[in-house]
Amino acid sequence: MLRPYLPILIIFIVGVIIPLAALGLSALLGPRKATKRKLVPYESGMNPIGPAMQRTPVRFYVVAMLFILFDIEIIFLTPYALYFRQMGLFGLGEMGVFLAILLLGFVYIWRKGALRWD
Amino acid sequence: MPFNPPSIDLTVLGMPALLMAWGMLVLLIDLFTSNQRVLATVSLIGLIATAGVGLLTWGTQRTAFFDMVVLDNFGTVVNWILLGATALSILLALDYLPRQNLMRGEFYALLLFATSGMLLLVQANDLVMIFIGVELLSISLYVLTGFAVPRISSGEAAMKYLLLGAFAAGFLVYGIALIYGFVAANDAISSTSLTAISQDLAAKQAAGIAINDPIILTGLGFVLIALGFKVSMVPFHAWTPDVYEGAPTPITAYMSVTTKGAALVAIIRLLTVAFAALRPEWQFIFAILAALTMTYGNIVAIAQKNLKRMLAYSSIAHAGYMLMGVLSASPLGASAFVIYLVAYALTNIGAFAVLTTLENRGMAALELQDLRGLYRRHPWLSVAMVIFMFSLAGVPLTAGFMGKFAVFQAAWDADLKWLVLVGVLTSVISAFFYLRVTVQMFMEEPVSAEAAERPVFATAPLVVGLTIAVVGIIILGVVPSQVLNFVNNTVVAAAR
Amino acid sequence: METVIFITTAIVAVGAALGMVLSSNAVHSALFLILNFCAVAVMYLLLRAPFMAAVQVTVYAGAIMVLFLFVIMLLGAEKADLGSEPIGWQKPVGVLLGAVLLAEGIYVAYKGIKLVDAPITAALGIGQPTTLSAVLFSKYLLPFEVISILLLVAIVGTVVLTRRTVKLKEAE
Repeated sequence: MLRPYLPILIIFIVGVIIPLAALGLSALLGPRKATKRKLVPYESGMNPIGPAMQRTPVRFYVVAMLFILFDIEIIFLTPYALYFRQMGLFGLGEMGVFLAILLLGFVYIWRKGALRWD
Repeated sequence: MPFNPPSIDLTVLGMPALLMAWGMLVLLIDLFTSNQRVLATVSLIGLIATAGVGLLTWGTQRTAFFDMVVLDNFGTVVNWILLGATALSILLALDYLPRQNLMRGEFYALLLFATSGMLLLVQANDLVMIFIGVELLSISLYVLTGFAVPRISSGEAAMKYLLLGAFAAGFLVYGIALIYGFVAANDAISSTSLTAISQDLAAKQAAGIAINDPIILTGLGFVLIALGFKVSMVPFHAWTPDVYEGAPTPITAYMSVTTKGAALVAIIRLLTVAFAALRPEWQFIFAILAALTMTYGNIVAIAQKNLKRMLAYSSIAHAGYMLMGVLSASPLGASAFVIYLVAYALTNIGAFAVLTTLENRGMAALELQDLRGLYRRHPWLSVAMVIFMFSLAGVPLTAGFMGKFAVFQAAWDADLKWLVLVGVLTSVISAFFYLRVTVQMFMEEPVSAEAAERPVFATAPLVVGLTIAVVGIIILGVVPSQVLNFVNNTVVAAAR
Repeated sequence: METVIFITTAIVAVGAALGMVLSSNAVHSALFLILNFCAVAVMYLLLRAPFMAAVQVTVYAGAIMVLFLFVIMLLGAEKADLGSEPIGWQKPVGVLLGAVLLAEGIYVAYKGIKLVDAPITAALGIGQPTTLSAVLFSKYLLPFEVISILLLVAIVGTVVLTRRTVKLKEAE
């Protein structure tokens, strides 16, 4: 039953193995000589100032909200992608209307400058 | 599964489809101009054009898109009322927005989208369509409620409305799922359309299967909770005063009328088309809720010092009166509901229009005492306000009286005599606080010399709106027979 | 084989849920929740509902959790402030309701009660994406198109509520 999903599982496993192998091998093979300077977090040669976990600006959140809306659009594209041959031009028209309306949303965001970072 | 392309029936979908397209047009124009007079004018033209579509398709009665939407004269009449209410709200907003520093073009686009959602809800003949209509109008209204967002009360109102509204949406989806589960569990009919549900229930009844199954009763109850939330029916009313107080006044005027109208039509269709067979189950519960709604709204309104809150509670009470027409579940009840909705739309938007003229920047909350001595400052405005208050109270020779008379008659015919009694008694109670407003304007002196100097923003669009409301109320109150006959014929024809 | 997969996924799902509730770092909670969502997605696959699985991963594990993480990080609320519970009765009532639900589930499973007479999914093939496409683009075409308007309104709402003063000239 789940046979067709086997490649996905394999990709998952490979995806886990590669970073583990990289970290594990360098831990096993690499020489370790800890000095004070080496233990400091690397920040382009600068001395670190403050913790790494900082409050994120709220702008990210706006982008994330807009991302969700277009993510839902993708969810509606998936059934279309699986079925567009059977539907022919009519289906293309259906999807065209759907996408055109959302394109207007995109134009709106762009023109209103909601994607500008100022 | 083979693909079965639907036929695109733009006759049936005409009104909502045109309004949606027009909303997008307004959104597009807003990107290139910041002149809000242009946007308001375009929006008004769109509303008129949509109403015109209703005129063109008048008399057609059929469903389309696999029974998703239905076109009938009843729906068209309600659509006209909603479009009219939207147009009046735009007149209210035109000078209010710049005065409150809220001048942003999206206002008009969102208003049109909200109205198009309501038109869809009115024409919905399917549970999924009801859900989408409710969501479209709600999401637009959440944003419009928070439109004055630098003002804290507006943000608070939007937040409360959103959270409780999302909760209500959860009830709606769950209810739909339960109804679908019951209807589709045992046979091949897998449809969410109201017609299919009634057919399935009839088939089950014929086969001797009990249809008052807990699953379907729970499902129906959940759907009615969600729609009752939109109508602000007691006990799902708690959001109403806060949201109505915090929202920009034209939006309060708009949603106090249109949301209730659209959601009540959905309830009418749900109960009379899909669940007529379960009438003994829902009618009594609904009657009790209507009685509670009228009593609660009117009694709590007495205690209010803030005018917007007072009108919010009064709008809860009016939802109760409209419910009386709805739960009568007869052509008479439906036409009574339509008449009440017209009267209520004109009156309530008119009353909020008066508040809009008095509302200055930075003065969000309007207290009852701010009306003192208004007669000296602006006699015409106070006369208009008196007419609105009389009509809300249901004094004879106003539209409000006609509306109340019609719903009482419908409930009486449906053998709910005790409910009529409750309605009459609560109307008498309500007269107290409506008349108190009148007394404040005519009898009392202003609280301070500064208060007497406060400006009145009765600008041209507002005066037009007020005039339409006053004239409509008087026409409907003094010569109601034409309107009554028209509505009766329309709705009875649709029921046949 | 299916049973083995189910049991493994179930253990992961329950473990991730516990980790999410018990973790004192809100970011870790969010990450546990993503793991839980992914495990639930595998269960949807087992129930022959691949589209639901895709939605679960794309929307919930993907987008919604990104929002959660952003909220946590923009409030700087990684560390849970235990000890101050604004609504005191919330926790015991929550535990009680959870216990009731668990007991109900165990009872239904133990007694072998059939909640519906026939599994709808198997009969109609609802879980199959192509069946869903056929229904979505024909019978439910109108709701589908209106959803694009709904998304458009949501986009406008997002911009309206977050950008307070947009000067059109600046945007050009």
